[in-house]
Amino acid sequence: MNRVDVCWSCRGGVVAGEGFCPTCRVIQPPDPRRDHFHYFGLNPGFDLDLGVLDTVYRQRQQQFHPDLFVSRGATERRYSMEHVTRLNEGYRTLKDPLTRGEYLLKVTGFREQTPENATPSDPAFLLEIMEWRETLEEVDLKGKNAAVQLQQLRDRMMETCDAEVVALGKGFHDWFVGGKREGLAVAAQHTDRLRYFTRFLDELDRKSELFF
Amino acid sequence: MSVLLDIAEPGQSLRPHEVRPEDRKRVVGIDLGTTFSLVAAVDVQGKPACIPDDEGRVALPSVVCYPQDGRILVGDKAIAASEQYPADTIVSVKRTMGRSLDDVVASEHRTGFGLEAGEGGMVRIVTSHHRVSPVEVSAHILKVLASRAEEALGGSLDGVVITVPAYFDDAQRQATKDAGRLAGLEVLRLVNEPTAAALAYGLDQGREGLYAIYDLGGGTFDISILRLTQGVFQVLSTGGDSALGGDDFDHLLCEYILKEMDEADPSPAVLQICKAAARQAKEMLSRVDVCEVRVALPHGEPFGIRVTRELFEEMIDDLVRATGTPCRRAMKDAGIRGHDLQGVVLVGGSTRVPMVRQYVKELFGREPLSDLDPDQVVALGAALQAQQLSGTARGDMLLLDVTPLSLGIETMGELVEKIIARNAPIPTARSQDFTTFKDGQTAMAIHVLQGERELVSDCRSLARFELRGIPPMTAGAARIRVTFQVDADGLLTVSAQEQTTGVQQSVAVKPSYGLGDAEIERMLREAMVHGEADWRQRLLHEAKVEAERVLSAAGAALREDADLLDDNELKRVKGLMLALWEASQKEDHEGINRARETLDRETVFFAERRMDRSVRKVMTGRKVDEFQ
Repeated sequence: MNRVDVCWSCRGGVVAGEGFCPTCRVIQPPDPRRDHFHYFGLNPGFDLDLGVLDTVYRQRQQQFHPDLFVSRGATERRYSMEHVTRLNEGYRTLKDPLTRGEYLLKVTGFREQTPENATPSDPAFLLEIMEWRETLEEVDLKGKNAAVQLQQLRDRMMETCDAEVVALGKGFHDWFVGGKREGLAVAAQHTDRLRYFTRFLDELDRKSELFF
Repeated sequence: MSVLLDIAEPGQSLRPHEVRPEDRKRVVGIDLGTTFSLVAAVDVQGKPACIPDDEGRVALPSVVCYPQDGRILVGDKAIAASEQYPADTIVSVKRTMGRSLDDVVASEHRTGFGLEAGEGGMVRIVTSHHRVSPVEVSAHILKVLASRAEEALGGSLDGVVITVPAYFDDAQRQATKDAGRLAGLEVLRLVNEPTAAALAYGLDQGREGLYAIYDLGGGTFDISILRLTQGVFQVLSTGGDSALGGDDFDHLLCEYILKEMDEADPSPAVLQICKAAARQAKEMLSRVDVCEVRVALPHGEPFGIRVTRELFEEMIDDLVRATGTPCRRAMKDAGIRGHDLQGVVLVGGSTRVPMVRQYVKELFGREPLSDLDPDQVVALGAALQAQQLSGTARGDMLLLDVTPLSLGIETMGELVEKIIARNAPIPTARSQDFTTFKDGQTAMAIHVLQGERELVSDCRSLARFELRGIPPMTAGAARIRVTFQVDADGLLTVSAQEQTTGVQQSVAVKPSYGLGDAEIERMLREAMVHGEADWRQRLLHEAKVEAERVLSAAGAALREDADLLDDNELKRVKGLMLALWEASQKEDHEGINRARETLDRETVFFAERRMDRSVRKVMTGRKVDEFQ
């Protein structure tokens, strides 16, 4: 059931979080209680159509962007800014599989905070990461094949990341569609792996820039 | 009483973006360039065009000369006077905007004028007889362009859009905005140069898809990757070098000529002449394979030397290739490869150099586009954006830009913790929590930095401030939330709040390299162009906008729910609306606001009845959410 608010301008009824008043058409503030999925009008879940996300993002920008409110009053300008800040944050979060996964773990109540450990606690995974690191260290940056080697390593890592994305997507699917709570634990595990791999990719990319 | 009928007539209320012809405003776009600057406006047909001076020239050289007699010469007049006053002639001032003396000395070429450290370490320019800040010099250029535009458009300007290199950091942007204020201009927005260029291109051609904008100007290099979809210009990534441009080509040629002339320590006059000769030679070498450089010195033998294109290309090879790294990084950040692009657009005078074109072709694997004049396209795009911001544009175009560099704060071990990543769409706001590391710690220093590197010393320091009054707690117990907010101009505001007590500090990041508040205030007072009158005008405008909104809201409410009022009440509400409408036709903002407040106050009962009705409607299951 949608909550009812009152339009700040004409005081007519407004469904909380809707963009504009149906009576006087004036911009309304965003509803902080809506999560990113609800805000974008998407079903919560890991699988989402990025094309749809892009389209909604653009459409909302065309409704709310501060450029369209330059000549309006101070309150309207502020609400426009709040909407677009919200929109940009949601877009950034949902677009990337890693941030989307972390966000889903939060909204499902599985865990409040993303762990910040520099090293993984699972010894087997720690070993795996160390092997990747060693391979990276072994690339002779002064050698003439360095650029190619880095690219090959990057391609392999990307494949690994893709597999993690599939695995964590399955975990979320088990919860959102199958209703199995243990799906979230699986998703969390693969989200964590993806986070370490992403960090590794950042490091690799910093080295690759030497050859740009 | 026709007013009231209008107000109550369905479909007659003002929609948010509706424009009336009398609202048309005098707004322009200004490309404040390193070597020259332009101003452009959109005509009644919606086409942007650069505004020429009396002699038909659109490009104003970004040169300012301050002879001792107190005159201020700008543009071609300054160039003409530069031989007489070489030490009082400022060129390429853009390279010093928002920079410290150390930055400028590190990257700067020899100049005829001197430099020194001013307030907060920021660079000041020293002529033979006075000192002037880069912001003031830029303001003098802006003033000349503004008065040119005012003459052409027949009245004072309502607002300007000024372009900045996409890769400009916060300090450089702030300095540019300050220059606009100092010139007495209402700066509607700072727009990134490549984005402005894309606007001119996209709208001109109705293009869609992914584009790279390669912008090599006089002093700066920018690359931006954009997606154009149905009038939305979404910047996906940007990169560049804010100290690389055609000036550097001139510099290398100039040094070569000086060496051939055996001039180890040239006087300002000789330097000026050689620089001009180098520039001419560079321009000629874009058209011919070999050219003759002649240097006519005031005292002494004329000097001549042949320069081939091959030699010139050898000199600039490293510089041209240096543009490759930002391009590759921008493509990676956007998650695309060269073949995904629909086109590569060339912007900036330096893209006329054949070697640059050839390199861009190799880099992106396609022939670049240059069907619009690369010198004018930025100003044209800025004019379109100015029109859009004045609320009088016809099309539905929208610019979605990003912040070029990561923003963060200093943490333990002189490391930078990033809070907003580069290429984040703006406006944006992000928070991160930090804690105290000593028992009983009551203050926390916040050091704001910009850049991609991990060490504080490798990033640009933007501001420092202190959050005080944290209640003494054990180490790690306090929760200090630091919030970064970047507005649509790309300018940063930082605030810090202790979460358990609500103690708060906030600073608009006046960068350490920008003008101190005291300094800008002094300059504004001196240049007192904006006075009391402008302030009143603004208050009046705000009052009218609010009045219009309230009238439209009241009209909408009456259309919907007039039946909630009896005849007397209806009459009273309409009477108050009429009073507000009449007040809003006059030029007294206080009167308008009084009438608005009266209407607000006296219609509370009506609002309450409407609220009850809305709630009942939702309760009985009628959906209110099918709109937008």
